[in-house]
Amino acid sequence: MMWLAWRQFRTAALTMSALTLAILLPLAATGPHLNHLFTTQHLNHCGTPQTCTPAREAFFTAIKADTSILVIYFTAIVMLYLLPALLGLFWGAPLASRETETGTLRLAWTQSVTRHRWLTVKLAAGATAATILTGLLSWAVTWWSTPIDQAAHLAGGEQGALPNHFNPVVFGARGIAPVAVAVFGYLIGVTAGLLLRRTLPALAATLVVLAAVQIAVPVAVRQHYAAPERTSVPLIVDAHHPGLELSVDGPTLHVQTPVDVPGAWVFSVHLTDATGAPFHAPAPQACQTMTDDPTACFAAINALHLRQTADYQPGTRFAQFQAEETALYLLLSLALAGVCLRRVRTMAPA
Amino acid sequence: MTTSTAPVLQAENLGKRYRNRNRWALSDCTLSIPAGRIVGLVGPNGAGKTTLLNLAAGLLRPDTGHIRVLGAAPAADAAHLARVGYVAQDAPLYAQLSVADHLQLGAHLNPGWDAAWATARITAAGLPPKAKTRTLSGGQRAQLAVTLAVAKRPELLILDEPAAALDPLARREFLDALADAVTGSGAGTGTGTGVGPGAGVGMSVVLSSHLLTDLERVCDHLIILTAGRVQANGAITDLLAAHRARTKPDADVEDMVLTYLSRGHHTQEETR
Repeated sequence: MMWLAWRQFRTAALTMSALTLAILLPLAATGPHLNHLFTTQHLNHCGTPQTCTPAREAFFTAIKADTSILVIYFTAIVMLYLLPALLGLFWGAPLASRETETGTLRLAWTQSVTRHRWLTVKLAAGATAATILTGLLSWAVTWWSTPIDQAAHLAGGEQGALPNHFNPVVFGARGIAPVAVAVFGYLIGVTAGLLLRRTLPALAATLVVLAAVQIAVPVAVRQHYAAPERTSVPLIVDAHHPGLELSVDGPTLHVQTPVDVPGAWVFSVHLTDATGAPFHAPAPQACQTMTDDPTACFAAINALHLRQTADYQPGTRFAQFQAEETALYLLLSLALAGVCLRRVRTMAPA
Repeated sequence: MTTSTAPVLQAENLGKRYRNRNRWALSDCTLSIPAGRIVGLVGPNGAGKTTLLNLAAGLLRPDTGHIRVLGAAPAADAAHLARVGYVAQDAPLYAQLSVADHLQLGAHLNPGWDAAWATARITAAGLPPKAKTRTLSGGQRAQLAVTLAVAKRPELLILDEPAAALDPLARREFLDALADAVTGSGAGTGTGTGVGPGAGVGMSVVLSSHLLTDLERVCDHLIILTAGRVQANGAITDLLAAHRARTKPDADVEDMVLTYLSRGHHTQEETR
């Protein structure tokens, strides 16, 4: 059965490996240069925030000046999100649906191999290959991004910098989590193919379900892996504040400045008054008739002594969150494997 | 392999309904097929032949009744799968794989694989080993599919319309080759590979067709199926003798089958 699994799988496996290799080469070529930028800014031993923050700024200025670095940075993230989808679409979904359409399941299932074994071997082969491929890519991307991620981890906020590796999007393109997502993507594809039995609907279902899960997890699930920490900082607005958001909608005041918790994932910020209660009072008069000079409005807001309360997951929890996300996707994958094995017992092959 | 006279296939009130068609493809089918025969399953299109054979191969599960093949539930386990050879309708093969790949497939997936016999038969049938199966003719595909099913040395070989895609001449050649493969007088002996008297000794065969001439050529036992029901089941000689006694003494197999088929047609009309 191993022979058949490999014989049917090898073209798809080699294609996907070539695609992965295509992104590994530029990573290998530019990684040392990135490391060099990091050390020339003395970011590896800058010590205090007084020396680190300017060094960090200089580092990101240098990074942002180099288009090729930015292209590789974002392509690598896109690839790690794309790979689970590709594995689901090209390895997973056709596994049973294509053979149902061509009728060859009737050949495969009448050899001296039970359906259970037929599926188990194919699931194991695909999941193992997905693990190796995604593991390799994620390891290379994580290695390549280390200088950027370390710099982003320092104090200084996201303005003018790249997000730290706890950022909801970057998190899914670092460490071990992408490996579990890839296995999950493959199993979503296999499940869709077994349940729908037609290739095109299986492909569509794979894409929709995988996209929905990959959106739902960072938006609604990940923040609950551990009880969040909370911090409260005074809101002080001025004309030079980078990242200031200020709008007045009728009597309602919307104002927010970035809350910088170095290395953390800040996932919600609320406006409170000086006592810590939610701020609902109408906007100050000076802000309701906005003029070219917002100084009066800023002064009125600062006079309210508002605070910002931020809920965040501290940067020290990154590894724990990676482990929990991996466990979540692996559990979902196991559940899907169970669905597949149940389905194959009673499924008609044509 | 046992030489017992236990039936190779036993069905009891067997029924299968396709949900999307909401129609019984096979209903209340009770029959027994003795070992050591070459059984022809005849009936018009839509009579339930493929459904019955798919149930026997374990590809479908019955909605009602029971079926036992070689004394066990169909496709009960790997050992049981090894005892039944099956060629599905249209002889499905992997289009991307070559003839030689398919023989490899057979060798890897079947513990009783007779590699020497399979190779000899492919050579005798003139199949180019390196050709992808999508480039083969209908007749060549059927030959390869049957080779795969026979070379696993099953006790029961099930063939669903193996000759349907072939033109009359190719069909005749194919059926002769099939008879050789089953009775052992063909490819296996002529090649000097020492595989003995063919792969099919002691093998029971069930073969479906809607073409009577196909079956007369190779079968010694007939099952006539119409509209999901068994109309007749017995050795051709016995069925023919009974039919001649009822009708005219020079009636042939075709007369007999047509009589049964029209009878099935009438009962079907009456129950509507």
